[in-house]
Amino acid sequence: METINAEILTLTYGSIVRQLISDYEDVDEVNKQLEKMGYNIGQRLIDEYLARSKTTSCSDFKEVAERIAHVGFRMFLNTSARVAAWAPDGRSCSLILEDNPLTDFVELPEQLRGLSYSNILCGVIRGALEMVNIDAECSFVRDSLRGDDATELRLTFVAAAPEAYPYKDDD
Amino acid sequence: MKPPPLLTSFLALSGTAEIKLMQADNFDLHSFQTLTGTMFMMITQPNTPESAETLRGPVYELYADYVLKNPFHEMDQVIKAELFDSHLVATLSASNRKWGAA
Repeated sequence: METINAEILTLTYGSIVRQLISDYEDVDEVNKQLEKMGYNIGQRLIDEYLARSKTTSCSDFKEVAERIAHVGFRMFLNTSARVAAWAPDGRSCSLILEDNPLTDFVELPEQLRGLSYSNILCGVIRGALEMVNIDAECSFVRDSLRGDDATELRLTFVAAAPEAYPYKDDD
Repeated sequence: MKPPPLLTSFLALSGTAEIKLMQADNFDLHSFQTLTGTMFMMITQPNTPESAETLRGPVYELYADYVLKNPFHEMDQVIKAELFDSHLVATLSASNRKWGAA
């Protein structure tokens, strides 16, 4: 597989965020748009992940989280996340990112404190999981760009959505 | 591609069973359903070796590349990607040459 300089990704992503900020001006709206972009990417990326990793389906949500953190992040961002802080009912956990290629060289200015800079990642995870019939929510709870000591995503299992066929058989 | 209504009813009747291979006199029909619900079907000459692996491997990867990564492909619409077609033909021709068909 051919490789290119990772800085191209960092620069391209940075310019997308800048453009969205200039277009929407409202930080919450930008966060929403980033998540939406990620969602569209995730819907397509999941088949790439499945084709390359040649895995079978996961048996429970714990496995889902582990695979996202160890296989998914490694495959697409060449970094890995740590799964931690499982809720007692096993329905939500944290993914702690050691390093994030999207935020190399980035410093968030004071007036953009509410910006979830890497929010695209939340959308990617949500979109990808939806294509394998898992409704999940994903958001940043800690972000080193905002001054926290680590970058942490909270992943929550909402429901298992069974396959919805678009055809009504009795028509 | 979502399965057509007739196949849907069949799948519903058979519970979690899934048709992977149907063999007739003049052809084999291989089917592979991904975890995302996309179904691939391939018609081959009877007893063509490695058909299932080809479907699961190279064909799935070509789909993930040339169809899904094309930003102008609308999800769940008919696939109109020439690159996908040409690469698919190349891969399957190579497979045909390997197993001795024309």
